[in-house]
Amino acid sequence: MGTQMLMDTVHQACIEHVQRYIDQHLDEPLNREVLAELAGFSIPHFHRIFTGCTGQSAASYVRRVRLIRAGQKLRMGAVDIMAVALAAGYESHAAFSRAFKKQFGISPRAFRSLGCASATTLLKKGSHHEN
Amino acid sequence: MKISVTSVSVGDQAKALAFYTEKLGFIKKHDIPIGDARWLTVVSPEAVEGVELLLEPNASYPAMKALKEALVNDGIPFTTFEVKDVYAEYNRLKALGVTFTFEPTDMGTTIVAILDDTCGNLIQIHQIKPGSV
Repeated sequence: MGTQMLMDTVHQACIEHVQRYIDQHLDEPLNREVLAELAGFSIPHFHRIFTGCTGQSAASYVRRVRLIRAGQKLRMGAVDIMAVALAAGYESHAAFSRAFKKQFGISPRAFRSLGCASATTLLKKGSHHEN
Repeated sequence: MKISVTSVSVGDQAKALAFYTEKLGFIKKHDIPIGDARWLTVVSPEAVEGVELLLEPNASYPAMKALKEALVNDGIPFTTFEVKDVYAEYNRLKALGVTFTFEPTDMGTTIVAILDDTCGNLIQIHQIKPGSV
């Protein structure tokens, strides 16, 4: 029992390290190979540990954090939604809009028209949604 | 009445001074001991007689601590500094190991980027696009 608790603690610390890396390197490649190597696990083991610790896959976490950053840019008034979409890893305006609306319940264009307080509220709500 | 001093909230003044001078490129202006702290200000090398930035050691004050954490959690910068070229500054600072929370983004009249000052604040740098104002 003690050994399992120790392993769980080590895994949790490892995954938190990976999450911090993701948060600080959002504009760099964050595929499963990169993240598994960072964690020191095989890809399948990394997937099991990450999902077990966070309740979502690493790919979902990366998508969610990139969408939140995209929302922050729109909140500040970014004019080029396509540029925001590309930076978030989407290859088309349509794909980005679908993902954004699924995450935050509102289109990117409508989100950009919100005031800072309303936009921030949606960003916080959306940060808890599965993508 | 004129604006001669503004401030950014920090905890460790020595750490803040290192970041604001060695990374951001400001110059130390005043460093006066006041009790356990210092009246520690920096200025832009482009305006050495201009507005001073006070590295204010109030980060542990409960209200300021809560404010700083809330701003960082919401991705909102504490303040903003103007630069001539956000992309060039972004590349320069990235090469110095500065972490950005978002890369240069066109906001219409300005281009902005946001960095982590390692003192518990997000700092925006902005460039006013020609012909905007």
